Amino acid sequence: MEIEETQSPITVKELCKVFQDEGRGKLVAVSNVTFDCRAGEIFGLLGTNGAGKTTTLRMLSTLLKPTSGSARIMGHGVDKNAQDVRKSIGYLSTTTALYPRLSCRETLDFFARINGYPENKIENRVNHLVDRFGLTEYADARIERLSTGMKQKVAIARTVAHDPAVVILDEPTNGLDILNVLDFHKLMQELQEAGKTVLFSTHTMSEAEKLCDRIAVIHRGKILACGTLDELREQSSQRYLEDIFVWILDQHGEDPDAALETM
Amino acid sequence: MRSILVLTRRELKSAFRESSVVLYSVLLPLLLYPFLLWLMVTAMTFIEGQEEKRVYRVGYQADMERGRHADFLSRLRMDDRVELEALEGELPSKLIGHHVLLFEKEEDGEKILGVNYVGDRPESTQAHRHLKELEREFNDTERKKWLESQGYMAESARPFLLTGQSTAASGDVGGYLLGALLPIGLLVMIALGGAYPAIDTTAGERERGTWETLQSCAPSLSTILISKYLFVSLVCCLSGVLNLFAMLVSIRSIVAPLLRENESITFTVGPQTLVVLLAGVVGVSFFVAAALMLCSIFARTFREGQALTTPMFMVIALPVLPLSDPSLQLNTKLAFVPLVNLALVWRQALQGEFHLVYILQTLGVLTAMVSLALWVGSRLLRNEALMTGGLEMDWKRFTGVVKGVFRGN
Repeated sequence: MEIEETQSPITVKELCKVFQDEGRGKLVAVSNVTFDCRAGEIFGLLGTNGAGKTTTLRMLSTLLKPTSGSARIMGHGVDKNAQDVRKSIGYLSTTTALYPRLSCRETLDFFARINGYPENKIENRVNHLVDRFGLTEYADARIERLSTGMKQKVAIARTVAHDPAVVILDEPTNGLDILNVLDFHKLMQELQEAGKTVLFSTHTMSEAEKLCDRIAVIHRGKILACGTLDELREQSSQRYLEDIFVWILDQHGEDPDAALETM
Repeated sequence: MRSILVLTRRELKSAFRESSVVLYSVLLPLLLYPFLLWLMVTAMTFIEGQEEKRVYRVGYQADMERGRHADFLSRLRMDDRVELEALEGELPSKLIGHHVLLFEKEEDGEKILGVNYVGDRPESTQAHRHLKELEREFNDTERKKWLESQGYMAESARPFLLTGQSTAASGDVGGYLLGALLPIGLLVMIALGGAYPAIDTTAGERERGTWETLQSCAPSLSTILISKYLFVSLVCCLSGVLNLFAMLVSIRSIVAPLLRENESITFTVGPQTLVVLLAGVVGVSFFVAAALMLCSIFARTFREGQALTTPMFMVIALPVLPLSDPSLQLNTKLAFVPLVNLALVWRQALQGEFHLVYILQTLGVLTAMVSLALWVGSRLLRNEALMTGGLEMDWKRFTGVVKGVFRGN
């Protein structure tokens, strides 16, 4: 896992997160995680529930402070230059996380504005997003009146409202029906074509297989393997990602059956 | 600064689309006084009307018609509100079917008139009171007739007459009434107006998941919290100003029906009083907003937020006790007691008294309280667990966070 710190929009080096809980004691959520994402790359964090995907993404989004190690986004350290990092990213959490009493248009306008998108271009940007995500019919409807799928669409649209260089998505297809999932895959390709770096977490093998240029398998807070699908296939001599995943866990002495049950 | 404006505008836009905010922060402060006072006047008028219409059933010993009090019975018969019934034989020991019972008894060789009534029954007590009034009127008339029959002028038999007249200007009475009603109502309304926005902007954001989204946006955490604080303070201010306005506008017309003939009250609030009232509203709004947000920031859900902010209302209502003593004046010691000092400054200002030292001292105490709340808030921001997810309602964790505030971690 070579890291080209100067070139990669996302570089993560030996990142650790330990939670101190007075009731439960120490909990190591992420341990020595190292990877990088190159410009225009779609990078997938693949792991079971509780593997440390969300904690890693939360540290990269500056929501959590790393216990040790470092991470840089567009050259800014997540610990020391949190505000610059936040200006460079669009982050979508696992929940839809929208303001129910704002309309779609107002939501997009707000997130573009608050993230510093040029004032004079906001209206055009909002119109473009409304059109791109097929929200025209519901553009002025309040979020609280939309279906779950439509809300998720608005959530993804607001993540890219300010046209960030790096997009971080935490399990973005949760709750989407098959048509919306396909539309999301199309969006990922569009973002890639526009030169954006996308880091997203998933536990859906087929999605990672279809979308990711490179995949990092994370388990119990540790990166067990990282590479392109072909590289992982070569290492494991397995054809499908699910088999590759099982092989990787097996190689690290983990119980694959127990891990797969949590996915 | 731009981010603060964008964030605050978003908060205000969302808030005023929420019916609970409109109800508690706008409609209630605006309509509470007119409604409560209207309710009070209507209830009083209704009760008075009922009393005026009430006919009292009076039972009496049939023998009395031939006795010493026959003339008084004749007078009672002429009264529209008395329904007399002669009772043969011994009077019943309990009042059933009558409000009062009249009877004659002998005391020191003289026949006197007795009345039985039931003290815990309002109608019976009122009937007794009515009979007493008729008795006084009857005796006065009889005394006057006797004096005149003896060649005296009735008035000359009265050595002197004491009449009372209030020297308080009508404006002073108005100021006194406002001073008694307004301060506590204003404090409670400011807190009530700010409670929903304070909970919604902290615990509510967490429950919806927007808290995390917002924290990953470009503005710093302190910018986000300043905007939220500004938003809650503005709503508190709005509730306070609307409440003040409603009180000042409505009180005159509402109190009018309660006044007796030749009585007048004016409610004049001069510019000086208005400045003191508004300065207090602004100061206390910032204090209440900070206190409410500090309570609700620990909550993960709106419901938890409500549970955590409820004790604040007891603190806000603290000045009720000192304000219940109309003679209590603001002094150097009381001027250091938050909220009580402000309530007393408001009361004095409404009564036309201005003590600049106490006003400044009160505003100074408010500023110190706001600064303390903001300091605690800034310390809490450093707690990652609190900022990212709120705390489970666990005493151990809560005390851990509080210790962290003072340790600086």
